[in-house]
Formats: sequence, C-alpha cells, structure tokens
Amino acid sequence: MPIIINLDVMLAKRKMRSNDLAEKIGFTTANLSLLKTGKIKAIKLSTIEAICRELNCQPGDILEFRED
Amino acid sequence: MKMQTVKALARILEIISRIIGIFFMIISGYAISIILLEKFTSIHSLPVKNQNGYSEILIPFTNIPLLLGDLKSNYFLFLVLVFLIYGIYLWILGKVFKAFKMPKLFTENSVNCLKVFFLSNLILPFLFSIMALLLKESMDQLFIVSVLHFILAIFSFFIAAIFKQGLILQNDQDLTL
Repeated sequence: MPIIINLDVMLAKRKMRSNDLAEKIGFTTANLSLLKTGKIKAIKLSTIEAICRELNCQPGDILEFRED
Repeated sequence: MKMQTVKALARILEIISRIIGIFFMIISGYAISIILLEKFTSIHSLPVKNQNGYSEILIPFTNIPLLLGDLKSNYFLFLVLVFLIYGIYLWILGKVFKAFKMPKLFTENSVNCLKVFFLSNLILPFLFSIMALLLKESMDQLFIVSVLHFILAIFSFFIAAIFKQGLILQNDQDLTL
C-alpha cells in the first residue's frame, strides 16, 4: 500500500502510548493496531482530525506517500 | 422495513422449517426402516396393518395410521424418498432463514447458505425426475414442482450474488476507520 501511516513516530515524539491514544479518540486497541500496520482500506476525515488533535500534529505528519 | 421485524420473522421461519424438516426426516427414516424390516426379516410384530390390498404404517405403540399405501409398491418408496428429500430441503431452508437473523447480515456463511439453497433448488427437479424414471412413476405433477423450484433457484442465485457484493462492501466498511 503506497500510503504509509507513521503513527508510531508521532506517538514516540509526543511520548504517548497506543492505548492512551486509542482511548482518547474512541478506538479499540485492535483498530488502532490495524491503523498502525496499514491494514485498513480507508480512513475517515473525522479520524484524521481526532488523531491530529490528540497528537497536536498535521495530517502530513502521520500520512506519507511512498511508491511501491 | 425494520431489521428487527426481519430478524424476528427469520427466527420464526427458521424454527418452523427446521421442525417440519426434522419431522419429515423422522417419518421417512421410520418408513424406510419398516419397509426394510418387512422385506428382509421375518418380524411379525411390525407396526403395520394390512387391509383391503393396502398397508397402513402406524405411529409406534399406537393404532393411529401414519402412512398409507402398498409397502411393496414403487409409489410408496417414491413417497418416502420425497419426504426424506424435502426434510433435507427444509433443513437447508432453515439455514437460509438463520442467516437473516444473525447480527451481521453479509457474511461468508450466509453467502454459502444461499449458494447451497440455489443448488438444492436446481438439483431437486433432476433428482425427482430420475427417481420417477427409475421407480416408473408419473411425471405430470413433477413438472409444476420442478418449475417452482427452478424459479426459486433463479431468485436465490440473484440473492446470493447480492449478498456476495454486500460482503465485499461490508469488509471494506470494516476496514474503514
């Protein structure tokens, strides 16, 4: 998948655990794991908004395009 | 149309079709065992009453007739096999209704149930025709039954295709966060 989700990098920068982020944005840890590993097919704008709000970052900080 | 109504109706229809299916299979199993026992053993205490050229298979331990006919005739064997086949068919139908009452409608299991139902409706007319040919029974009444099953087969084929598409969309939806 050419779109990479760099959630681990931002979590490390903000010194936040996955479980804490999942709780704050109303996700299960399983769903957040799917997000981190890039196994999802689509992401809602509201989800990106919630993540950016909690991690105090821009969408470009967590989304990256990398050609296969 | 609310899903709760659909699920409630599916639950009722599942129970009804399974009960009737089991009932048919029990009757056919019982009748087949009586036919075999009468043919291959010399047991005289079978629950069978012979009178006026035909036989009555009685409900066990009672004098109430369950099935009527000449035990040695092909027609009776045909009738018993029809009971067995429709017993299995109603069991399959019960599984289709069960698929509609599940929390998730579009699943691999429900698609498979519909495919099996489609195949059973397609195979049944051929099965009856072969049985009628082998047992030398009349094919007249079978024609209408075969047409009805063929129409059901077409409907279930389309519904299975819709469910398959629904499954793809459901999986995409599940992987959308």
